[in-house]
Amino acid sequence: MRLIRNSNNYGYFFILPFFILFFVFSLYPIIYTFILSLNEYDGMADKVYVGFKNYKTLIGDHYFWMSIKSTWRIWLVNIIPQVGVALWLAAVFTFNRIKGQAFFRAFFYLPNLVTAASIALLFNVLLDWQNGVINQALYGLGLVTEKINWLRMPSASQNWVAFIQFWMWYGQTTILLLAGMSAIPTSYYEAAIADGANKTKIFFFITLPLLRPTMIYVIITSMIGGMQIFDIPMVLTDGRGAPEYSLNTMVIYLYNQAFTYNNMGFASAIAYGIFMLIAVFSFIVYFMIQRKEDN
Amino acid sequence: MKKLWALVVALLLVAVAVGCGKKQQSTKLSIWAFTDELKKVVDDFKAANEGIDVSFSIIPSEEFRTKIRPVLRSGSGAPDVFLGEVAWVRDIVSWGMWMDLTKNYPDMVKQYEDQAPPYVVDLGRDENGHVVAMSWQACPGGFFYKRSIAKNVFGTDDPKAVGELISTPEKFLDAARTLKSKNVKMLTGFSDYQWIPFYGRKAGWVDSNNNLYIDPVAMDFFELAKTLRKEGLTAKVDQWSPGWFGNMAKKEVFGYLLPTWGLHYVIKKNAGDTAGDWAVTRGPASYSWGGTWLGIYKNAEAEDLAVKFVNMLAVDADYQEAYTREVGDFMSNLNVDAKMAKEEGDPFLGGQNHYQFFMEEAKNITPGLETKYDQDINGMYIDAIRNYIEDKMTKEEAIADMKGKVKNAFPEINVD
Repeated sequence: MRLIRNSNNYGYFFILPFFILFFVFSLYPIIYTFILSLNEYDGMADKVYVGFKNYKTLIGDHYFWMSIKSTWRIWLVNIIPQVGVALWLAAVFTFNRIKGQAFFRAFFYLPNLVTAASIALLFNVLLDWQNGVINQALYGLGLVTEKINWLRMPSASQNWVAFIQFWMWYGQTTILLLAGMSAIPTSYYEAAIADGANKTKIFFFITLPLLRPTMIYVIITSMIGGMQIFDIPMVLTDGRGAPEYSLNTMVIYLYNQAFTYNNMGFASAIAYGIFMLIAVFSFIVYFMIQRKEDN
Repeated sequence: MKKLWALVVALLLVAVAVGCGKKQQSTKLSIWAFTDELKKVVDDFKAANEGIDVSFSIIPSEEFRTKIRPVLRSGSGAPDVFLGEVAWVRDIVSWGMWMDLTKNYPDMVKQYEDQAPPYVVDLGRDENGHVVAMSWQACPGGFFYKRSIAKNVFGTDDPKAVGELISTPEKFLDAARTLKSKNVKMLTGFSDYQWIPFYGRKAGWVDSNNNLYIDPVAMDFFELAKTLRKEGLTAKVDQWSPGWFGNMAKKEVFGYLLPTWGLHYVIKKNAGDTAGDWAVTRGPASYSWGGTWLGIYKNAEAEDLAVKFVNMLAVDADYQEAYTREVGDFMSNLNVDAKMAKEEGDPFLGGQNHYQFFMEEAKNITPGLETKYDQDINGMYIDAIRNYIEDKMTKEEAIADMKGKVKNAFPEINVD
C-alpha cells in the first residue's frame, strides 16, 4: 500500500517539468493574451480596461474579414494541387518499382529543409519587375511583350505564395501518404485483382477510402499551418499585406497590429479570433471527411 | 577594542569609497543602433578611453522599435545609449525614455544648440522643448547626376545650370522628356522623388488635434508620379532594389535624389567606373532625408560613459572634423562644415565641394513637418500613389484607401 502511494508521488515529480513549461510558456501567455484583449495597451503606457470593445471592433473590421479571405484563398490554391500531386507520387512509388526511389523521396522533401524566409527572399528577387529572372526569361523568350509586375498584382501574388507553399510541402505530404498507403494490407489488393478490378478501380475503391485517416491528418495539419501562414507573405512584399491586402493574412494582420502599430489589445483580440476560426474550421473539415467515412 | 572599531570603520569607509568609485567610473557602455555607421565611432571611443568595453548591437531599422520597447519598458537589459531614425525619432521622443539632457547637462546642450541647424536640434526636443537626443549629422538632400549625360543632353554639366533646368516640378518633367528622347531615364523610380513633396508641405501628417492632414503638395505628387510612370521617364525600379543600385554605375539613368549620406554610403559604393562623373545640385525644392539621433536611456547604468560618447560624436568639434575628413558625412556642427566648405572639392564630384552646397540647403529645410507616425503613414501614402499610377484606383479611391489604413493602424487619429 505504502509502495503504491510512493510511486504515485514520484509520478507527479516526473511530469512536473512538462507542467512547469506548459504553465510558463503556454498557459500563462494564453491567459495573459485574453487579459490584454480586454484592454487598450500600446506596450509603453499603462493598460486601460475596455471590456469587450476590441472584440466588437474585430467583428466589424473589414480588414480582418479580408485577411480571412486571403488566407483561405492562399491555402486552397496550395492544398488542392498539393494533395493531388502527393497522391499521384505516392501511388507511383507504391505501385511501381522505381530505381532510386529513396533518392526521389529525399529530393521531393528538400525544399522543406530551407528556411521559409530565405525562400521568400529568393522569390522576391526572382519575381522582381524589371530585373527578376522570371521576367527576364519570359521577355527574352518572347512569351510576354511587357514585363509583368507580379508582386503588385493581388491574384498573382497570392498564387505565387500558394505555389511556394505547394513546392515546400508536397514532399512532406507525399511521404505521409506513402506511409499511409504502405500500411494498407496487400491482401485487399490481391482480393481486388482476383475479382478483376483494374488499377484505377483499385486506387479509387481501396486505396483512397483506406487512406482517409492519413488524409484527415494531412489536411487538418495543413489547414492549421495554412491559417497561420506568416513568413512567406511577410518577406515576399512589404510585410503589411501589399499588394492591396492580398497577402495580408490573418497572422500578418495580427503581427502588424501588435508590433508595427502597437495596438496590443486589439491584436490580442485578433489572436483569439484566429484561434476560434481555426478551431471551427478544423471541426468542419474533420466532420466533412469523417461523415463520408460513415456513409 | 577601540583599535578594532577604528579598523572596522576604516574598512567600511574604504568599501563605500570603492562602491562610489564604481558608480562614478563605469567600464562598460552598451549601445543599440540600427546602422553600422557607428562601428567606427565605437572603435574611436574605445581607443580614446582605455580599459572600457562597449557592447554594440545592431538591429534592423524596421524592427528597432519593436525590439527596444519591451526592453525599455521593463528596464532590464536596456542599453545606455540608443538611436532614433528621423522617420520614428519623434515616436521615441514621445516615449519619454531618453534622459532630459537640457536639465542634466545644460552646458553640453548649449554648445550643441549653438552649432547645429535648428531643425536638427528641434527633432530631438521633447514636449517641454528640452533636448533629449542629439544628432552628429544633418541630412539635407540634393540631386546627384552624371556630368557626362548632362553635357551630352543639355550641353552643360555645371551644377547651377543643371539645377536651373530642374528647378520646378514642371521643368523637372520637361528635362526628363528631353532625357528620354536621348534614351536616358531621369530617375530609377518615381518614389525617389517623395522627399521633395514631403518637405514642400506646410504641415506634417497629423496636426496638434490629432487630425490627419494631407497637404495639397502631397496631392500634387500623385499627378507627377503618374506622368513619370506613364511617359516612361523612369526606369521603373524601386528604391533599394538591386536594380536601383545597379543603375548608379550605368549611363541609362541620369540622377538620384539623395541626401548627404547618400553620397558616401550609397553612390560612392556603387558608382563603379562613373566615379568623378558626378555632381550635385538642387532639385525642384530643398529637402532633407534621414538622419540619426542618439540619446541616453534615462536610467542608464553607465551614464558617465554614455554622456562622454554622445558628447564626443555630437558636440566635440575636433572629433567631428576628424570624423568627416575620414567618412565624408555632413556634420550637424555647422562650424565644422564651414571649415570643410573652404577646402578643395571632392574628386568624386568632379571637384565640386558638397559641403558648400549642403550648407546652403540646410538653411532651407522647413522645420516641424515630422510626426511620430511618419514611418508608417509615408509608406501608406506611397502605396496610395502606386495604386493610382498603376490604374488600380482613382485618386479619390486611393486616398480613401490610405485614410482607412491610417485609421486602422492608429485609431487615435481622426480621419474624415
